[in-house]
Amino acid sequence: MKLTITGDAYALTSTIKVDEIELLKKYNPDALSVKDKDGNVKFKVSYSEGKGSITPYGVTFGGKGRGESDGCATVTGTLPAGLSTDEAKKYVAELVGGVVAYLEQLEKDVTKAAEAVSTQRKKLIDGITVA
Amino acid sequence: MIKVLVKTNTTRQEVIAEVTETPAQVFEKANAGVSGAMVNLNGTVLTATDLNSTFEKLGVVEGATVNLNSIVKADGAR
Repeated sequence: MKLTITGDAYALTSTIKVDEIELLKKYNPDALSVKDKDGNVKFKVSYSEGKGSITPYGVTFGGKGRGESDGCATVTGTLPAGLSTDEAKKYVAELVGGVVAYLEQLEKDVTKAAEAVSTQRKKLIDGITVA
Repeated sequence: MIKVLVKTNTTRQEVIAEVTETPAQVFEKANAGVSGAMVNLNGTVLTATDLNSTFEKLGVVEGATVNLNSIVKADGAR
């Protein structure tokens, strides 16, 4: 996960790819959530183009990264006007502080889960006989 | 994401949902029935159309916690 501030905007870029989120939303939505010991969902991630948000209950990514973060899920926002560099960093830290641990946990597992789904689908497709 | 506190006559559950989801979808996730019940969102009664409208369209903002109730009013014993 990477946090950047450019001018009056901040961006959170995850290592999770948007394609992985969309694949898992369809075939294994549980892999996009963190659950407590009773199996209740505590935190989720999702993707909705142009409508990103960070809340205590989850992150909805709204865009895709470019360059070295090509295809990675991103969420951007604007900072209040007139903040110094230190104040801007503290503002962003306050915003994402509550979700960092959950996000890092999901970043470890989501790619593996998406690969498992892709492998299964490929096996299914390869097994289809076309008469 | 929003937190939806789903309550019926017999159960209470917390469901994390997207604002683009609908009350009908959340009831389904919570295995809660609405048949014959009066459904309300934060006290506002929902119509059949509202049940299939997104939380966003119903005025719920990101990060909110909302109460979604499905209550069956039974006749009292005689």
